[in-house]
Amino acid sequence: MAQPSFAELFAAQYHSLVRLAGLLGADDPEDIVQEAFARLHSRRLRDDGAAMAYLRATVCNLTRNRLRHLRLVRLRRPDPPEHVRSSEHAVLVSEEHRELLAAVDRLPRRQREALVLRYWLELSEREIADAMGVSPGSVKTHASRGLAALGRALKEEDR
Amino acid sequence: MNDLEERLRAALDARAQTFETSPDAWLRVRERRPRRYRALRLAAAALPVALLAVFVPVLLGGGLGRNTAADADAIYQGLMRGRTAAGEQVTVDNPTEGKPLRLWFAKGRLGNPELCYVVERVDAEGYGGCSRMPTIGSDAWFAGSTVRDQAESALDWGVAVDDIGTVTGVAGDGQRFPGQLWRPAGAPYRIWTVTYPARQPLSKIEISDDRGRDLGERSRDMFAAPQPGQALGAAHDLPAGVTARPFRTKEGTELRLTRGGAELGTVLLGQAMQPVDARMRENVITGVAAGNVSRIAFSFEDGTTAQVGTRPDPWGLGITLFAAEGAPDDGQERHRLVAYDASGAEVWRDEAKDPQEGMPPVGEVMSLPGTGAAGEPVRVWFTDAGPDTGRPRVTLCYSGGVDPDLSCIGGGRHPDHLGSPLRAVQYLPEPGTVSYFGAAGDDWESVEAVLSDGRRLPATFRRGTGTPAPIWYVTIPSSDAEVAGFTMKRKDRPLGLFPETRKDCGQQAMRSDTPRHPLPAGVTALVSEPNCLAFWENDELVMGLAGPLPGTRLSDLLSAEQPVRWGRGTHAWYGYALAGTARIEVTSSNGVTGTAQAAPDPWEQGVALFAAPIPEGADFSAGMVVKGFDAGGKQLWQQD
Repeated sequence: MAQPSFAELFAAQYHSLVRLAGLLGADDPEDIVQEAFARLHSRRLRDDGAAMAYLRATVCNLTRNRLRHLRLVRLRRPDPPEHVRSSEHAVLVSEEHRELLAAVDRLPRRQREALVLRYWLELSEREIADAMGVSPGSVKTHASRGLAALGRALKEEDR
Repeated sequence: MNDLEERLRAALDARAQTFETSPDAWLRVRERRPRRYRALRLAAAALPVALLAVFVPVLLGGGLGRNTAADADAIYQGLMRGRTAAGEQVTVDNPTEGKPLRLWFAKGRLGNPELCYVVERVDAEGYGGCSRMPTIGSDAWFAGSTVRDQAESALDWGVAVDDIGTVTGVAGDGQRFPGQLWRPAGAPYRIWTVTYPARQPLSKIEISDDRGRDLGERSRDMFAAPQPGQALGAAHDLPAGVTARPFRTKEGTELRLTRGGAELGTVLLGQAMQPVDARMRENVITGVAAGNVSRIAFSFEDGTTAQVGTRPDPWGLGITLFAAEGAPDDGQERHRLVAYDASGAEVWRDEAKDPQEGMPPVGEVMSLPGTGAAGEPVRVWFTDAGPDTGRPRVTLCYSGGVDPDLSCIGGGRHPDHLGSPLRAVQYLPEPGTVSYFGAAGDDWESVEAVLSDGRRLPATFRRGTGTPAPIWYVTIPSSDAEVAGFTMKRKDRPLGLFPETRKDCGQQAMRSDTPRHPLPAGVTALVSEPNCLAFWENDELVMGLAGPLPGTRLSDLLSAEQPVRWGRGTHAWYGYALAGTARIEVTSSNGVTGTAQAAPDPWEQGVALFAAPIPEGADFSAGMVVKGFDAGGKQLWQQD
């Protein structure tokens, strides 16, 4: 089978991966995804699926590392923001999703990753495990804990 | 799926729609890739057949050779076939090799500026190359390094624009090393070099301008990725300055190929590996092959051919390695290779397809007017390729011009806003041009490019035969003013203003002598010409906002639909709102309310500026409501 071209993969997947990085909480999703593609370019993976798995895992990793860095920065500066995303972006999301997304933002990182990869990208447990660098069993745990936390948060908001 | 899961999916999908992409994404990825240059595609094209025949055995040798100034001269001459020098050559002491490092600027056959180098080695053949200049948004960057395994000292080099006065290297452990700036006569840029102990590799440079003003730092990350895992053996030198080294990573055993610190490729070894995994980077063909492969013949789209001998790996991995100069610059996407064993029998054959085959055109492929005076014209076409999302798609692709690679943008719905234009740079005939173009909607009446000197140039619309949408395009001479943004008029709609997105807004503002305007919460602001508004929080740059286009004011970027533009820093939120606004109230998604006092801007831009501390406990990540009030407490507007 012919190797998928890098340009083709970029054209088809760039926007979707930017959205993934954004949903995972990246402060500059494009920066993350451009770096992921740059790293992919220096490799040659066997097929399209392998390339996509590599890109997803790299986006998850880079976002996680970036958020860890931001947390360290915030430890040195009191009153930290939870996110440094464009505020104008945020206000575009409609009222009906506001509470739920706020609760997603408060989830521990692994739980948030598991939920975004499952419910937005609709990946299988195996694919989510590959992207997160954990076992499929851990995916189940993170996802169920995340959902439970969201349920609790929404009930608290309802009060 | 229960109700919560359904809601979660809908909410994530809604938020996902808010993340936009920029038109230069492809270029920025390319800038991050290992440095590249056109090199011998052009050189080889210019070589007579007889010389090519002589060239092949040199590649087959692939071993150590003499290392004399004459060799360096030969490398220089090889690089300069098809190029012209742009300024004097700089000769720098290379602490890694104890031999000179030559650096100079050149123009490629299509006039594109490049930084070229020749590294002489103490115990191996020298090598050289030319790296391209980014076309947007950079004022200093890494371009090369002499670093290699077991060296005591190393030198990184790079490019800086004309107003950079000081460069300081910063190692990962924080130690700082003074850099040196070179100003070659007649050159379009400055060259910087930093020497450092190899055990303390640089992680970034700090730069300041000619007047000593701090302009921040620029990371080395975009030049060289960090080590992928635990090294499984010593680095092994291959011809053409390439170094190979195996690593154990969580994915398995990976072989990393580098040249002067920059990554040329990483190959995941094992059963999934193809019999030949070849990478074309810069002017180098390098890679990994199965243990029984002794020779590989390459043929490229432009007719260039090369034959490369392999050598067994020194780590007992059962593979062979190869590296040689002679690759066309863009050959990695379009080449054929045939691998032979020691008896001459063919063991593997592969063909890398043309990437355009994956993006078949829908309707006419159009040549962009104003391009093609030198080299291939920029070709533009629509495609419906890509994943099936169940929604109509309008994806616009282009290739040609100075950059032969394919680039596409879109995949979204039918265009109803200007979005982010595509951009193609032409260098010849001098002074060159910059073309902006994009997909248009059927109800678009006009698009204008707004130049930094205030002039407006109308774009031309064209609809190709059988295409799903028209395109608009405008070409501006490079000697003219910079494009600050665009206007776009749709039928029965007001004129829209679209400042060009600038990630270097703050970097440019830091060069201004105009005092910043102080706001509450330690925030300062400054209009940064030609099109953005920069903000600082406690003297640290934070996210800039869209600024006034030349000939317009900030107030022109506001309307009843968009009464406020705002951003957030670490501790403060800030922005500008419709004139007459005296107080702004934000209610965060978790119900926390914050208030900012607004006051008329000091630049006669017709807006009210504001800044305030982010209220304690506020979640500004999504779903905020922002309201504006006049001095009497009457609500003027609301954005949600």
